[in-house]
Amino acid sequence: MLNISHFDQQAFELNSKLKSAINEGSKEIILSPGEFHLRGNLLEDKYCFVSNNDSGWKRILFDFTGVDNFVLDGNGAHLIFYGEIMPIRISNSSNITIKNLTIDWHRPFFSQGIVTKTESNTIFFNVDTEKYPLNADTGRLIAYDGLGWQTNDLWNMLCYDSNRQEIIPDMPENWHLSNYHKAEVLSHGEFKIEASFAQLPTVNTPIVFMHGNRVAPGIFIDASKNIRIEATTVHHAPGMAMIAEVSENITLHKYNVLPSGDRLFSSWVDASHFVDCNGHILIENCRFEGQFDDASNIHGVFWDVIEKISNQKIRVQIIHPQQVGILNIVVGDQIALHEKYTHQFVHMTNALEIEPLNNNIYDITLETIPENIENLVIRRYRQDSLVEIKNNHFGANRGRGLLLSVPGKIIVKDNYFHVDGAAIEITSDTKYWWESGPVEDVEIFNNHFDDCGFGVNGKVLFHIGPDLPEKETSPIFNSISD
Amino acid sequence: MEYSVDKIFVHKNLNIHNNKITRHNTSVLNVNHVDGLVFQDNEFTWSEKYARKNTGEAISFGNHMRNFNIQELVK
Repeated sequence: MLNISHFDQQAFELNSKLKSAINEGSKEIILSPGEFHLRGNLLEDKYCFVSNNDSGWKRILFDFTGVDNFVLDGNGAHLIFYGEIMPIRISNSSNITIKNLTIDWHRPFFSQGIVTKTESNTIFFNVDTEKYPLNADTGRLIAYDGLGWQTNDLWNMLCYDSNRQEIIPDMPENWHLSNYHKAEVLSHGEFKIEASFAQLPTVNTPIVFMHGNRVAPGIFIDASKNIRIEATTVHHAPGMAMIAEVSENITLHKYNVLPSGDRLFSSWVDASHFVDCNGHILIENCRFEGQFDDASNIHGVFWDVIEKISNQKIRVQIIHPQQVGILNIVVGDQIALHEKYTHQFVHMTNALEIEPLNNNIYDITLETIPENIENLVIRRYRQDSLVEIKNNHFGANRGRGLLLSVPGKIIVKDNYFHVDGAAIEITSDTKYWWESGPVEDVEIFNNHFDDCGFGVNGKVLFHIGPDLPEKETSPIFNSISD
Repeated sequence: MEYSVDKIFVHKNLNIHNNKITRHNTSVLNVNHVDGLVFQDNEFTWSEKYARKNTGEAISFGNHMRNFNIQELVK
C-alpha cells in the first residue's frame, strides 16, 4: 500500500531543506542516498514560462531562484516522482551545480504494452497495469496513477522492434489518436483500441502510448549563468528532460537520459534543449537514449515584426505559443533583422528599450530600423557563443540527433549517433517552431553515424537549410539526379 | 547543373569531415541556402540495399549554394 501523505511530506521536507539552506547562507546540501518518493501536493504553485514546453502553474521540488554559488549533491539519491511536478528549476541564479542524482517517475506519462491481435482498424493489446494503470472512459484511453494524477490526452502510439528494442524502421506514427480513438477495457490488463492506424503492427509487437502534455521538464534553467549538471540521470520527465532558456555557460557532464528497468522510453520529449543561450555550451560524456524527441536542440527565436510605430520603434509578436512569455531579447542586445520568407539578412542594430504590451507582443526601440519593415522578423544576435558537443552517445530515440542553429562556433566531435531521424539538422524556421537562425561556423568531425534515419523522422543524415513558410514562391530545392 | 542567379545564403561555413558513416540507408546530405560547405574525407559503409554509385543519388542540394566542396562519396 503506497503511503500518499508520506510522499507529499517528503517532497515538502526536501523543498524546505533547500529553502532553509539558502536562507541560512549555506552553499551546499547533500541528500541521503536511497529512494525518495515525491509528490507535489504540499508545494507552492509557481507560474513558469518554459520555452518549448507547456507554461503554467508548477509545483517545484528544488527551486533555485535568485541563488548564487550553490551545490546540490544528490549523493546517489533516486528521486521518484508522482504526477505533475517539476524536479528542479534554476532561475535568475549563477554558479549552481547539480550532481549525483537520478530522476524518475513511478507512473510515467507513457504506457507500454504488447499487441495480442489485430483486425481492421483495431489493435488488441495487453498492459501490465501495475506499472501502467490504464482505463477507458467513453472511448478515451485514460492513464492514471491511482494517486490523483490522470489524463485522457493521447498523442501518439509508437511500435517497437522487440529484438532491437527501438522503434520499428519506417513504421508510421499515429499522431491522429489525439483526435479520434475508441478504447475499451476487455478484462484486467487487456484492452482494444480502434483508430485509423496507418499500419497495423504484428502480434507480439511492443507498443507505447504517449499520454499527457509537456507539463514539466526534469531540469528547467532560466535566465541563469554558470550552471553545471553532472553525473545525473533522468529516466523520465513529463516534458523535456532538461531545458535552458536565455542563460549563459551551461555544462552537461555525464548527464544521462535513459529508460529505467524494462521501459522502452525515457523522457517525454528532448533530452536537452537550449533556447537563446550563449557563452560556453558544453555537452560531454553524456548518453541519451529512448527519449521521444531530439537528443539536443540549440536555437534562438524569431519574433515577427507586425508594425512600425516610429522611425526607431517596431511592434513585434511571438508566434509560437510555447515561446510566449519568455523575454529572449533584453536592452543592449544586438538585434538581427531577416526577411521572413527567405531568411535573408537585412539589418543589424541594437535594442534600446523593450516595452511589453502583454506576454506575446512587445514594442521595441532600436538604434536604427530599415525603411521598409514588411515581412521582417528579428532575433537576438550573440556571436560570442561556443557550442561543444563531444564524446557523447546518442542512441535510439524517436526524433533527430542534434538541431543546431545558433551563431558562434559549433563543434561536434567524437560522438556516436544511432537516431531515428536526421543525425544533424541545421535549420532556421519561420514556418512552425520559429526557431532561429542561421549558423556561421560549424565543424562536425570524428563522429560515428551508425544506421541513422531508420525511422520516419528524417530520411537524410545531414539536413541543412531553412524551414521557410509556404508563401515562398520560388523553388528553393531541386534534387539533382545525376 | 544550373543554379539560381539570385542566391540567398542563410547558413555559412560548414565543415563536415572525417566522420564514419555506417549502414546508412538513405541520402546523406540534403543542403540548400549555404555559403561555404566542405564535405570531405568521410568514410562510408552503406548497407548493400542502398549503396549508391554516384554522388547524385546520395546528395541533393538546392539552388542557393556558393563555395562548396563536396567529395565523391562512393569510389
